[in-house]
Amino acid sequence: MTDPNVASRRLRRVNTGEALLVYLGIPVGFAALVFLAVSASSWTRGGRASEVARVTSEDGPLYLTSSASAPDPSVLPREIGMGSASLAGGGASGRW
Amino acid sequence: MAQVDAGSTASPSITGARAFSASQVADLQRTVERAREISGLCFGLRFGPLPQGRESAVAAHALLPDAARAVLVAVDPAQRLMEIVTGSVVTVHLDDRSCELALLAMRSGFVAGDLVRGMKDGLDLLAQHARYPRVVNLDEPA
Repeated sequence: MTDPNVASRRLRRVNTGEALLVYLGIPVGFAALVFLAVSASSWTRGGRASEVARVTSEDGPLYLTSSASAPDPSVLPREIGMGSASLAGGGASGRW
Repeated sequence: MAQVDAGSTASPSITGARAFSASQVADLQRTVERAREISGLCFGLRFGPLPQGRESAVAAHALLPDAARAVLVAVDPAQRLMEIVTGSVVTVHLDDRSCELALLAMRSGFVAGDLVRGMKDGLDLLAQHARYPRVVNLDEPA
């Protein structure tokens, strides 16, 4: 026969706070852990300077670049010096 | 420098930023961003007048940050001119032949009257061709 004291200890009632802690706290805590694990790498990763810069004006040319700083599209050097020519390695031209 | 010849079709009467809606500009932004993510290179897209043709495109390319590792796609709708300028470092991964193919892809879209489609196709093709295999411990991540 089971000792009633032992039985009562085994069948202890769970109060509301403990129930909330178990049924809400554990899932929320797990979700927070997953979020940290997923996003932690992006916090430490450096140099993802991939913001697209867009410089446009109403009548001016459309200019999109894949870096944070974009040059003023309305500025087009008249003289093509050695500096700019040496930066260009190749490419192609065509018409339609 | 490679040259692609085109047929004779009517030139568009639109130019500059006004030619596109906000959603089209956003679409082009995503394409430029995606090209950078794929290839690790800086991409630029210019849609507007190129008074001196190729020289103007080269000058615009020089204005890009880290121009030696940058690719510029320039389109002049008034002259129906397409220019692709690659930086001196970029040519190792993106040769003139690939640029020619990109121009052909762009031309297909432009001739059909879809400027956005043409520019997107050209950028995607350039990004795919510029992608090179990373060498672990010997290469900088993109």
